[in-house]
Amino acid sequence: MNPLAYGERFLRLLKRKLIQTFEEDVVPEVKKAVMDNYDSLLMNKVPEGSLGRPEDFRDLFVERLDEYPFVKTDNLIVKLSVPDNDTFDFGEGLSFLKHVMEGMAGFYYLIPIETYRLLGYTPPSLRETLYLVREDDPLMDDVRNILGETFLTPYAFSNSPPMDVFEDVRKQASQRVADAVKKAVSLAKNDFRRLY
Amino acid sequence: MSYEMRSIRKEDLSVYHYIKEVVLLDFIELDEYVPLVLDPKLSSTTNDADPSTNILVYAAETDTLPNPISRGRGWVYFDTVSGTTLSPCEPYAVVSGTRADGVATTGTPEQSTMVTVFDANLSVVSDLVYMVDYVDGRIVTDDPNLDISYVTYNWYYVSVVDEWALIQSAEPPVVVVDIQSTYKEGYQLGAGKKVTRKVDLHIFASSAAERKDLLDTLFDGLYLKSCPLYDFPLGDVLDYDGTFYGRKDNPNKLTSLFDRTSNKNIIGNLQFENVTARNVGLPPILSRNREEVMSDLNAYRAKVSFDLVSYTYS
Repeated sequence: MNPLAYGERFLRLLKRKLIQTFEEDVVPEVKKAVMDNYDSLLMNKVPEGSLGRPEDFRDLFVERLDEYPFVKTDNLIVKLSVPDNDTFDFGEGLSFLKHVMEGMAGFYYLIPIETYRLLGYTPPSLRETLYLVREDDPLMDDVRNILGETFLTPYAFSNSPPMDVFEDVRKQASQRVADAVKKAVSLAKNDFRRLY
Repeated sequence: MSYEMRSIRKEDLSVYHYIKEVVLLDFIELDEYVPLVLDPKLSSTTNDADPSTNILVYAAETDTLPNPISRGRGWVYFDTVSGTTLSPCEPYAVVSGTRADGVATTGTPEQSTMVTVFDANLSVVSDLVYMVDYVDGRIVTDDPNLDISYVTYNWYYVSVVDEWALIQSAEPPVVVVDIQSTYKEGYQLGAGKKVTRKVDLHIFASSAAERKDLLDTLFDGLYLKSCPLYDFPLGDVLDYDGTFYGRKDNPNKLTSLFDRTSNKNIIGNLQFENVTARNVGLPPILSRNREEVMSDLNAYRAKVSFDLVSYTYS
C-alpha cells in the first residue's frame, strides 16, 4: 500500500480516538466543573418559594449543557469547545440566568409573564416566564396597582457583579487536553498496529 | 505598628490610575466659567477670636451631564504635557522635589492649568490662596475677603470605579476595574513568584457609539502594554477630603509631589496579557416604553478581560 495511504488511515484513526477521548474523559469533567460552579455560586442564595431561584432553573441548565456541542470536527481537525456566556444557549427559558451570570447594575424587580399580560402589554417573548423591570421604570407603578407592594419580588441579584459559572472552566479543560491527546495517540497507535 | 498596603491594593490602584489618567486621557472635558457659590453648611466663618481657623467652601454650580463630580469622575489633578518628547504612555511630567513628609523624590506635582479660578471681573485668582477639592468640585479658602466667583476646570468624563456597587451612583459612561482572582507560581530556582491576576473591565456606556469608542480605547491601552506599579508610600494622590495630598500643609507644589517611584519588589512593570474584549448582550428587560429600555444602565455594556502579570523578587 502507498505509505501516504497509511498516513491518511492513521490520521482518521487518531481523529476517532481524539473524539472518543474528549467525549469520555474531558467533557464529563468540564460539565462537572460547570455544575460545581453553578452550585457554589448560585444555589441557596434566594429564599425558598421566591421567584427567580437558580434552583428552579438547574434542570433546564443541565439539559442545555448536555446539548452543548463540546467536540467539533472539521475534516481532520478536532476542536474542544468550552461554553462561555457568549456561546452557551441561554434562549427559551434561561434568559433570567444570563442576567445573573453577566451581573446587573442597579435595582430590579421580577415580573412573571402573566402579570405583564394582565397589564395589557405584549411580552417580548412567550418562551420566558420571568422578566426584570427596573425599580424606577414607570411600568412599576402599573405593577404596584395590580399586585400591591407586598407581592413584589425584588431581583435577588440586583446590583451584583457577574456570577460566571464558566469562569476558569476553560483553563481546567486546557490542562486536561494534553493528557487526553497523549491517550488518544497511544490508543490510535495500538489500534493501527493491530489493524495493519 | 506600621502598616503598609499589600501588593494587590497597590496593583489595583496602579491599574486604576493607569486606566483613568493614561488610557482614557482623550476623555477629558472642559467646563468653563462655572459660577462658584459659598456653601454655608460646609463653611465656618464664626470664629472671630482666631480667624485663621475660619474656612470658606465654594461649590461649583453646573448643570453639565453627566455630573462632573459623580462617583469615579472629579476634576483633573495633574497637568498633561504636550509637545514634549515624553512617551505617550507617561503623559505626566515627573520632576524632582519632595513628598509631603519631606522625603526627596521624583514625582508629579498638583496641576497648575487644569483648574482656574476667577474673580467677578474674570481676573485669574492665584492658586496660592485656595485649595481645590477635586472629588467634590469645590474651592476651599481661609481668606474671607477673597473674591472668587467662577471656575474653569477639566474633568474626567468617564467614571472609573473599583466596586460594582458604585456603578449606580455614577451615570454612564462608567468603567469598573474588577480584580477577580489571583494565581501565584514559581518562575525560577530560588526566590520570586510569577503573580497573575484575572482582571475584568466592565464598560457601561450611554450609547452604542460610545461603547465602541470605549471598548477600542481600553483594548488598545492594554494590548502589548504595561504600567508601573507605584509604591504609594503616603497613600493615594488625593487626601481624604479630596484635596491634593500635602497641599493643606504647604502651597509649594514641589514639596507635595505624587511619588512616582516604582515598587522595588517587582521586575519591570505590571504587564497586560491575554487581552480580550467583547460586547455584553443581555436579554430584554420589561418596560412601559422603548426609551426607558434604551436609557437603562445595562443597555450598552461591554467587557475587556486581561491577565495582570508581575514577576516578584521575593
